Amino acid sequence: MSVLEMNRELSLDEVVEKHPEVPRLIAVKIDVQRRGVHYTDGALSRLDKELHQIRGATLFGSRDAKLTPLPESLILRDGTTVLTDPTPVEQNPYVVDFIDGKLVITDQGTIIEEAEYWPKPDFYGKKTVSGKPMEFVVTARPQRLQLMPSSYCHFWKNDHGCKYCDIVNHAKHQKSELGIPAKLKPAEASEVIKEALKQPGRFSSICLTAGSDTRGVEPFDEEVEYYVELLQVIGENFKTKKFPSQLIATAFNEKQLEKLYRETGLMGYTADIEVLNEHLFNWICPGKAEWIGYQEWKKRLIRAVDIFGPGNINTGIVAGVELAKPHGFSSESDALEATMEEAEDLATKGVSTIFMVWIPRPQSCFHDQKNASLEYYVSLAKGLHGLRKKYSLNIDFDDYRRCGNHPDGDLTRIL
Amino acid sequence: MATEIPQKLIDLINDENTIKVLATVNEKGHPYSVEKPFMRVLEQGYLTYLELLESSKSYKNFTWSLWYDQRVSITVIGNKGENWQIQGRPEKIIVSGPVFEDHYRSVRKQLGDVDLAAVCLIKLELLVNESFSYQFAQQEQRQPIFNHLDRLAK
Repeated sequence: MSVLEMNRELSLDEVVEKHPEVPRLIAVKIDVQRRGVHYTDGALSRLDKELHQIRGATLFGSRDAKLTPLPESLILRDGTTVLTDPTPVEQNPYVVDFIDGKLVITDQGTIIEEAEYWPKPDFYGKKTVSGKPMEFVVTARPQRLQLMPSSYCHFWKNDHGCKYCDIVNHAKHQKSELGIPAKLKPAEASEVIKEALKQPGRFSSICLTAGSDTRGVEPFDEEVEYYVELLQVIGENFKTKKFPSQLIATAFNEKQLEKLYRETGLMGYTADIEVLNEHLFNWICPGKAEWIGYQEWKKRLIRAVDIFGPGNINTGIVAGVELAKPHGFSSESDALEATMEEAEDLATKGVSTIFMVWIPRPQSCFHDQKNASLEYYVSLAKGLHGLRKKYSLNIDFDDYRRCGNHPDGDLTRIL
Repeated sequence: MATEIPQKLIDLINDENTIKVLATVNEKGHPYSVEKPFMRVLEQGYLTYLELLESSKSYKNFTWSLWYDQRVSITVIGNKGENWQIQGRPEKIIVSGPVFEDHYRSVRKQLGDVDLAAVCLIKLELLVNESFSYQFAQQEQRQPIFNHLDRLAK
């Protein structure tokens, strides 16, 4: 019987020993994302707000449901980005501490790995001409600029938002406490991008990710129009028409995708299907099911490959939600098998699947659920990476450097 | 603990006219060697090499070697017959932050419009003087049986 079938979860060391194809550093990343972190006073004493990035505007809320100025996140010694957030101690997070002159990730008092805080970009702390803090307009990862054009998702209008998602509640929280706008002004976004580009070597891509907007002559036309406007204005900062960029958005129809590709500098496109099972998609993502549907979502991804080219299209899943109660898979092995089967179907048609570790966020419908075991995520990373090897799919536009949120994508950096 | 590097070797490595070849293996154990001119000793016991190509086999192999704690080797060849073989372990890959940006600016100043993928740190573990004159003298002294007889004939 596989351990995935048993109740006892394997420890980090046991998982690493059992799955040597996944390096320990990537397993550490997965587990830190899965369990979250708590920063000790010693760790926080090493946080220098002039040198390190403090958490700013985000599309989704954190596990502590707070907006306190703690470190944005961590980077490991192989350059792997860890996207994690402060987590209440009672939830058993990893503990980030400062021991023997080094910032370290610890578990039950044992040092697991060294880490560093994310470096603060030069544009943080500056203000736009309208007086807005630039980090409220564009945020940063170690090598990526991130824009959240709209943090309102129209699927929530009739309460059909995705059940693991807290985008709207979090946007309200950020707006009321920090004054972060729910919708970006293109000129202001471009102004901040221009400032960010003054820092040589800091950024290698721009990513736009936002909530869906169903409005328009054809559904989502307004969302597309907005991205086109935004990307065109941002594009004025570059001397080439195309620039390293990714849009994470709704699954658009062919006409909309062609417009995006033809009229902007966009290079990579991601339409997150969230869960690779039609029945669970209908339950967990009712807005996506209502407006597009599971099969049509897949078809649109495949059509996008013809427009953007192979290696420039992928879809993300919120790994672990396929196990959500009461309608999810009851065993991790069944969930893994079903997910891999669907991911392979997409891979045969040129679409890569990448995963994010599901965080049951306090302001989401699934707030009281539990994410999957470490072994599940490690197996998934191995499986999705294996598909990319098998079908010669690259995801350079969404890899360890240009994104950093996908453990399976981290493995692909050596392909 | 890193191996201490003698000053003459530090000077040799830091000399831009010295040839430095990095040898790595991939996950299948296949070897790959390539010259890496941007290699320096910035700190006692550690070598730094600048990887200019994100797509290079060396960088992929170096990453794999860091993940699995495998050694890489560097051959250092000077223009006066110096020849050193160095082994070490990948210690760190820096892709962001002030150190990365300093090197990014300096390499672009030197080469023009190029890019930088990573600053790679190697912790040194073994240094071998592989110059022929040194190795030949060692062999003659330690293993006199390794001789063709005619060399010893009257």
